[in-house]
Amino acid sequence: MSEIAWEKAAVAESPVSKPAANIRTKFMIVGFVILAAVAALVISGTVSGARFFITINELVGSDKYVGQVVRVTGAVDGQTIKYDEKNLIIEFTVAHVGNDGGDLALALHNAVKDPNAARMNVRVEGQVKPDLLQHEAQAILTGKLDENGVFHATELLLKCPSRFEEAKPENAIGKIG
Amino acid sequence: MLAEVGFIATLLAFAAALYAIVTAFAGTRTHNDALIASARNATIVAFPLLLVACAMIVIGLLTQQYQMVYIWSVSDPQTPTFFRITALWGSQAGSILFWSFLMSFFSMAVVIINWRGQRRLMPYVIMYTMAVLAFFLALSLFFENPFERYWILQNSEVVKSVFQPAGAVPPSSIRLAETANGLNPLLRHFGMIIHPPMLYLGFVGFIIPFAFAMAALASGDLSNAWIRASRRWTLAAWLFLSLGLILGGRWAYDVLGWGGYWGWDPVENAAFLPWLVGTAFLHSVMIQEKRGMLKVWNMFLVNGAFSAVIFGTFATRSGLVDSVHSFARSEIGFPLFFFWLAVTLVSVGLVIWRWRRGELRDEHKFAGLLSRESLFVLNNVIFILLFAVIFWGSFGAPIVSELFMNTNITLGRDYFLAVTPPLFLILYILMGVAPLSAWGVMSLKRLGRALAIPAVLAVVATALMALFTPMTVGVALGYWVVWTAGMVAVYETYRGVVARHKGLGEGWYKAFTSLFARNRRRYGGYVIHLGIAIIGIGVIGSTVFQQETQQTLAVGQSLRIGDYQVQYDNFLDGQIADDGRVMQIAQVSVWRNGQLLANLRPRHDFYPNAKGMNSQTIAGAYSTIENDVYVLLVGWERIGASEATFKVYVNPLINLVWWGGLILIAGTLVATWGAPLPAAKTVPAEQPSVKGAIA
Repeated sequence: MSEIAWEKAAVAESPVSKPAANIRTKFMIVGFVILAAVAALVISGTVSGARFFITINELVGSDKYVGQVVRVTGAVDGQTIKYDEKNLIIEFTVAHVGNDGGDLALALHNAVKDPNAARMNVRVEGQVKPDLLQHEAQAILTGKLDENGVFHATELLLKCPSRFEEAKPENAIGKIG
Repeated sequence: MLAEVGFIATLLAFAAALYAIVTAFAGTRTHNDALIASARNATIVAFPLLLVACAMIVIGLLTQQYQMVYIWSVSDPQTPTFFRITALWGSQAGSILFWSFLMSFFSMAVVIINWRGQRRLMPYVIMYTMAVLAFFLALSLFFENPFERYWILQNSEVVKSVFQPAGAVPPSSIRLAETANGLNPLLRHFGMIIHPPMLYLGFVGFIIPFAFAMAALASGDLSNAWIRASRRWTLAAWLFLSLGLILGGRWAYDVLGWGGYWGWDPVENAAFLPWLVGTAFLHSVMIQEKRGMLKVWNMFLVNGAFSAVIFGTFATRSGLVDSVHSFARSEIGFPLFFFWLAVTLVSVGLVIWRWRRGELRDEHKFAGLLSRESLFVLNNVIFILLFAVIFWGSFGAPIVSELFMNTNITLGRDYFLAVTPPLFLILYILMGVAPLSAWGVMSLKRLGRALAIPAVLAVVATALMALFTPMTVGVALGYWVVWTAGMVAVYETYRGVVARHKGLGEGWYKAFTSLFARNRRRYGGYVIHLGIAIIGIGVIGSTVFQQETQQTLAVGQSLRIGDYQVQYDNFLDGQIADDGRVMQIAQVSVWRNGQLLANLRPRHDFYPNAKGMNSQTIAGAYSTIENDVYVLLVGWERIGASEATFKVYVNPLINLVWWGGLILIAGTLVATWGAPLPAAKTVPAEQPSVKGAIA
């Protein structure tokens, strides 16, 4: 290739030959320091950032988690959504999502319909109402439960299952003609 | 008709892939060239077959064949034509077929382009790429079939099937059209339209260097042939992946309405992970090419890239992430997992086999801690550590806590914001230092001398920024490191141009262009570094100095944020767009020091026909290099809208993220295209004359 020497004086002027063991020790030390530093970062980050992901049944069933930051998932009941847009306060109720044998959309649908499912009031302050906050969406909330049973969420994530089987194509299409 | 043709074309492509695997294998065993040529033809033919299959879906979308389940679920009569086409990758079944289609394009291009140069590797490349293709086609045929149609049986039960069951009739087309789902409004954005194909191209592209590496191991041609052959494929894959990530960020910024572009969401991270391994591989593979070192490491990295790609596809496609429960829920989760496991076991087995036979021995030893090869190794270590901590935060902690602690722990943004910045900072330091160091041995003094001018320039740049925006020492230090990395790239290019100008008497422009033409990889690499540095400055600025406020305003009133004034001027109620969406538009003006800068139209779109999510908040933004004023309409009085509530962000330097992205793309194009052909005839890498050529 036509690499030209003045573009880069690539070879150092004095290639000192050091014993290989010396280099190896240096590499080990550097590697160890980096690994130890990263391990310390990860451990402290994990401890401070860890959120227990629990169900609504577990959360409302006992006062074990009151005042503790947790993550919880539930199905949004669309009729309960209240939004004070001037003060940016969102309130709604979520229902416990049970096991459903595979279909998230169906599980959310059943959770909201089930009158016996555990429910919890949620309050979110200072946030714009997300477009995804609607009936039978899955809400993933991070925050604390207070003594009155209201969950104060600081983080609100929403998922609408993209395959909305709840729309029941069979029922919609089924009628011939 | 469409469904049958598409299904049969997919089936034939699947058969062609299997045939190619078998004949390529038999051909190499028996040294039968005719069989290998036949395998090649089968590889090539998979592409037109899948083109037909995808075309059938697109035609179905355009002509509104709602009897096809996929089309029913991603479009409706109101969907604009453009989004009908892009709905091909709008949902699971279509996007998996589209993935296979792109894969078949890459494998066809590889056998056509590299056939002559790499005859010995080709049969194995065919085996590996076709195994991946066959697997994804099997997913389409047996798990997520996009060609299924609705049928009504005689007992009026509705079933999904590609072919007409006996005695069944199709449902009424009117009812189908009425009930069709429509595309999720969030996906109706240019970023979302190009983002998935770019990401898939990046994912698929990394299969090619992987296939070449495994071909080298399997064939025993362990020279650098596989690296030379796959280098441009790697760069192309990296380019697409970078583009996909940048577009994804842009989409989030424009559409999701929280004023940011990266949320450390597990799905985002899943796409970022292959980029990290791929970038590490791009760097370390140069060490092998130039110095014949790190051979085993590179094999593991390329394996890691493949695993990250399969995992990324899996994580973005299967809904793994909300909860690890979805792992079992997703139909394609287990097949994907077993496929990944099988390919990885075979590949790692190959590496270990060649390694133990002593065929992957390094040709040089590490000579000094500051040599370029050592710094590249350090760079690799940091990339892999970043990979590890991001993987742990997104997937590791939830899975481990679920399996072993009988609880479910997730890590939020806090974790990533605490853990990743130090690692990114080290990468920027290395980006500044490594290009200045030499192969072999490098003294600290020499390195310091080379670094002096860029470092001083970076001090000046940081000081200028601090004049306008007061900042803490930590932030200033961060800026300085990133600036230094960028300045090194610029200064080294400048030095090259000056040297040509003085040494060869070329004019400045000629010196500049021939510098790039002579060593595209090195100077393209500098352009990429500059782009990454500019992105870094944008990220620091928009993360540390973001301002936000929210206020309810009457018409004519204004709010203040930073130096800006945002005034609510007027409200346009119930505007109806071509595609049937209803828009509420606020007219807002942005002022600074009494001067009108821009009129914005933040709005709220409502899609009356969409099921599921049906509304969308579209920000209005006034963009300059300095700041983005990002205005969201979050509420309004239902009657008359005499008052409306706005949330306003000022995002400093955020546009540098996008501009840096464009520079990065330009640099990758320089490095990829038009380089002199990687000829086996030129000097082998060990020759002293090429020592200066970094790549």
